[in-house]
Amino acid sequence: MVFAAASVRDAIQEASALYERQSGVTPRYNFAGSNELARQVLAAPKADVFLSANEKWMDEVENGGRLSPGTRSTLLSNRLVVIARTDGPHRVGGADDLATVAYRHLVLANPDAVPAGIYAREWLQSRPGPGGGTLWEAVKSKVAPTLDVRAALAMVETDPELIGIVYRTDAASSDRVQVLYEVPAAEGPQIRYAVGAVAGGPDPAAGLGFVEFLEGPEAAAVFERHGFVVGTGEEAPDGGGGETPAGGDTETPADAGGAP
Amino acid sequence: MDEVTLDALRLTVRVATVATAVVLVPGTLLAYLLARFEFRGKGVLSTLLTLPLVLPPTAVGFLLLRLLAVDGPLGRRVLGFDLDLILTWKGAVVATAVMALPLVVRTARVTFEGIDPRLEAMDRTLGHRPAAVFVRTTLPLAYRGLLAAAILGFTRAVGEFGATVTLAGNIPGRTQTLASAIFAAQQAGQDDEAMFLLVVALAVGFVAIYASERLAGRTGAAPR
Repeated sequence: MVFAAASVRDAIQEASALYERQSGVTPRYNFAGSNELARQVLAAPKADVFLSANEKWMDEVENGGRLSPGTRSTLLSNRLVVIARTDGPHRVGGADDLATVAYRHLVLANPDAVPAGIYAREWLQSRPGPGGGTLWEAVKSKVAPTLDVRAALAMVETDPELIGIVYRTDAASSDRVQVLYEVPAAEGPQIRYAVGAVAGGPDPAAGLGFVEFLEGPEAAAVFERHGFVVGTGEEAPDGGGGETPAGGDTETPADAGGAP
Repeated sequence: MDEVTLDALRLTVRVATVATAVVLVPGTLLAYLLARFEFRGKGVLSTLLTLPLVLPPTAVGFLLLRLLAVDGPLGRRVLGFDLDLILTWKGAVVATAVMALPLVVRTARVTFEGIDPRLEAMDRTLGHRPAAVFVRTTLPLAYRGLLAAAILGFTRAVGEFGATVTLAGNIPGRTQTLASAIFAAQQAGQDDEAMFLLVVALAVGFVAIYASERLAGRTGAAPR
């Protein structure tokens, strides 16, 4: 069972079809906000793979002792975009415009918990606002939190007076919205998706195999087609993060149920 | 109690009260229609009215979201004005009302079906019009059952989450009900706050049910 962030849903399902043809194994999915997934992974031994939309929730799972050692890596990165309906009247040319443009609500995934919302908040907190505080303080009263990033997208699709902040990949998945502004990599927070095999799940070996597949070139092509950047999204010489060739070294089915 | 909790509590009570009030009259009339009359399409109507009970609340929320979108069948472009239900507390009322309607209708219908039609027929022979019979004879007999229907509707509205959060969002102080506040706190890993909100929700539920059952017990016993 693959626990995957809601924002990778379309891409991973497409990649999944390839994997199924190759291996004959049909991955099953649990999609939600990564925060929710992390708590579920820690609470019950149902997951074999965890794909988190940020490193933080993966840290939680790793610190909880639920990751198979050496299987964690940074799989993908993403960008934030400011969106509105295609017929929306508002224009946003940069972060500062969010404080001045007369939109009704700024729709984001819950900025206290869901990665997409946390990233959006971090971005706005890093920009100076008009009143001396941060931009976040200036827009906070207009923020409408949703359950996850796809719910924010669905909300923005309903009304041209709404503006949302979602991932570039979410915006690409909908023909009802337009991108008003793409947050440059240098300006926004680093958005990294971490993947890892979970220990003690129903089928650890299949989980490990799927993680390897996700790190391979075929899955990479699918992810790129959906607007993701494969890897860390930086020109780091060492490729960044745990490029450990996952080889089943620490895989012991016996540690099933070993976690609290 | 902090501001956010207090806001959520106030909003929950307000939304549930208004939703119950909105649903009660049409729900009662529809229930009476279904209990007393045979007409073409009755089965379809009855099924439609029950659907929100079996549909996932998030599906109901999504349906409402699409219906009420600017270019949806009940949107600004079609109606010529804005119902202003997306991301507003009125939206929470609509979402909970839709979810509460089946319980109100079903409970009221069973109540009406339990009333002997001959009592109504007798009143009619006294020369009263059907509407007068409904008010003079049927309603007093159905009083307790209708109260139960209202209570069920109210409690459903208090606890509703999926449809509300999908249509009205989760804006603290504006559209965040107890149910969505609990979810938000738990989502953010603030277990203490979630637990506290849970206790508040339990207290609200307990008081609402206990008080209404006392009320129903007392008022039901006296007249006759």
